[in-house]
Amino acid sequence: MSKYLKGWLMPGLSVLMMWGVAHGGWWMWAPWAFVLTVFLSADIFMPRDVSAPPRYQNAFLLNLPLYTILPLLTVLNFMVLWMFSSGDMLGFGAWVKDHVGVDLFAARERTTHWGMWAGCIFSVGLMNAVGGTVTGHELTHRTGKPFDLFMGRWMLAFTCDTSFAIEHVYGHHVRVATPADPATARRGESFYQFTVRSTIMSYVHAYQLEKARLAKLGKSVWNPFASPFLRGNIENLSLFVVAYFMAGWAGVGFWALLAFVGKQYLEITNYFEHYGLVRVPGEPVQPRHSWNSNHWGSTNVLYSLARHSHHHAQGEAPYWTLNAYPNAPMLPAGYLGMLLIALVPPLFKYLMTPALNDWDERHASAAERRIAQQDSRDSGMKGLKIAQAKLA
Amino acid sequence: MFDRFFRRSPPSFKLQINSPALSFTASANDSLLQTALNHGLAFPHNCRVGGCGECKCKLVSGQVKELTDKSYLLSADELRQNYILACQSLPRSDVCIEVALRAGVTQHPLVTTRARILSVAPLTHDVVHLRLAPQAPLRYSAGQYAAFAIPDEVAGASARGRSYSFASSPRDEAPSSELDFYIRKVPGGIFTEWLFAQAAPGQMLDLSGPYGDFGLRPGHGPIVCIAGGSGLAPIKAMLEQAIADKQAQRALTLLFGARSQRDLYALDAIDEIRRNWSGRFEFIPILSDEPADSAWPGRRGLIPTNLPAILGTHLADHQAYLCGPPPMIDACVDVLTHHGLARDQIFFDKFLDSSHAACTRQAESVLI
Repeated sequence: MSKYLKGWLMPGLSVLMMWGVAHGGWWMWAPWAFVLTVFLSADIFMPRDVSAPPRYQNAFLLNLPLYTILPLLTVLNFMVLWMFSSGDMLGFGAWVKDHVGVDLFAARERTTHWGMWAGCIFSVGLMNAVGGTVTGHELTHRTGKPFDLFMGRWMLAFTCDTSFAIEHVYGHHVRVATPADPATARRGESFYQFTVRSTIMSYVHAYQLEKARLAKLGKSVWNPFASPFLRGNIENLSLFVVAYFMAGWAGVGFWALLAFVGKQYLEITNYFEHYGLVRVPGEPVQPRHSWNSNHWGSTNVLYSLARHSHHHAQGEAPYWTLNAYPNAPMLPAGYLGMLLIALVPPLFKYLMTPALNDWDERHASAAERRIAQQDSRDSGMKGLKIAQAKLA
Repeated sequence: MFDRFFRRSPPSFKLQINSPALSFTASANDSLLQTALNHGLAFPHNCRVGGCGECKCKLVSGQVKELTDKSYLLSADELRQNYILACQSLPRSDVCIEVALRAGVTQHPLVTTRARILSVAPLTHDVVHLRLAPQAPLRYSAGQYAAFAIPDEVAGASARGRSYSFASSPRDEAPSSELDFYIRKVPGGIFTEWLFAQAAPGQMLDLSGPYGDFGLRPGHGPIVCIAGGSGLAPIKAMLEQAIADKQAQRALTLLFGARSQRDLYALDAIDEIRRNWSGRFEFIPILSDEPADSAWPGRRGLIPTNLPAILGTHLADHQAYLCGPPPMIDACVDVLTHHGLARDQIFFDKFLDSSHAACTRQAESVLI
């Protein structure tokens, strides 16, 4: 049975998160600090998880934790909006006090400083990203299953990012590691440059993909019955409307900040997952076109997202079938470690330069080395050996 | 009437590709592409996830369940003409599709003929080289196999046929006047006991063929060939064919697994391939039961455990061709996929345990 447990780490994390935030005050930082400590420790101190995927008989038990994320996120986000508002929307506070025994009114009273709300935004934004985006990512890959797509897209709405469901599957997976992909970071690009380009261009690209597709069918991208792009935007907006009704314009601003922070967690992940990697457009995507990580926490909590090399080589494979690929290009740290490192561009470049040198030397094909050489010369980065190398 | 509720295997339909001659049984759980590949058809494909459009084909009749929205990829024209993506379509009825199959793959007619034994020469203590002259012309592609009927004088009522791969490439464009097979003695096996004890030049055998679609696929990357025991036959034929077709530029690693030095054979033929192979060539015999104190300088142990060290970091860039006993193939496929080699780049020809029938199919991905 224990092999089924790993899917439940994420729902467990959501419940812990709720419990922490429900205390209000400076406690709102606690979930963030907790996740950072536990996650980083698991990545640093646990042995690398290169285990082969076990054989499972019961796919339902593996899918169920994915589906639980949406109600959990809904409750968590409703709760923080409730705390941010005044009054007792839907009698939620009274109900929780009577039935769960947690006094949200007192927690609200305790939250008096803007720094406390910042903790709330960092904590809940992180949960919306690792819970909503990672799970939504897994589900929106299942393009043949309308229920999974529906659940996944709503999970993405918590970071105002429903267009990810289109761009990621039909754009990013096709164009990964080529200049045409907005979600592949270029050599020398800092996270801060990348996130602006990626956020805007991913959205534009989703619009273009959907518009081109519907044009073939003679339909408009503004037709909500035909266009998942428009429906997704309506879902994004509807959460802002909920925030408005709960807490007025301040609530809208609060929600915008929360969605923004959540989205940034995703963009950092996008940033390091393919940083500086190149591929000849049109050639098959191979394991070497993603940075892989077998750090224990990253791979087990994030639904094997860290087994990214396999994910990109075989996008339709569900999370429990992904392999570790110990010979794939490896990130120098786990996902949460990389997330913090990417915020400090000089440190990130310092760590990734040897990794890129190794990639150029051991993983790249001859044609990719030529592209990598040009990219490295254009990058302005020092220490990339291929920039000066004589290529055959 | 409760069959539907208690049925253990998914329903199956008929998949017809281009003409009634290419009709296959298709499971409702396998994509049309997977079914075609399982039956050894060179169906064009690349990404297998509905991203590249390489496997697009025209749905002439029947119903399919589509796993991705093809309208992101196909043109308005193709959508109007009812094109689908084979890798993203599961059959929901009998299905008929049209597709341009890879050029250069010839479909040989199935021939049943008598063949005269030219010679039975020992290669090792338990492998013989059988040469046959078929009476009717028989064309085949390197990698394919023939089915033997057991001679009447030795066959019991329940005896089944045996299948063996052609051990050399077709001599030329003309139907081969001579066929080679490498045959290992199976203790207690009716056919091989007869072959080793009584068969003599001039005797007649019934055989039919060709079957199967094991053989070199197009590509530019390096190749690793893994042969266990008499599994060398189709691999040797395939490599000779590549040389004859001037397709021998790709880097090649040939692994030959045997128990001990006395079980190695056809080393001259392998050396001939080495001399004619224009790309990088590496031949590595690996012995599993060689006495520990022998002078054998080469590798020992099982092929799967040696694989990562031999292929190194570029393992995942290879195309792999395997022929040999099922445990060896299963273990090698596990190691290769664990190190990142895509399953659709692995091709094997597996001896089935009981009948030694050769059965070619592609590695299927096992989802739950």
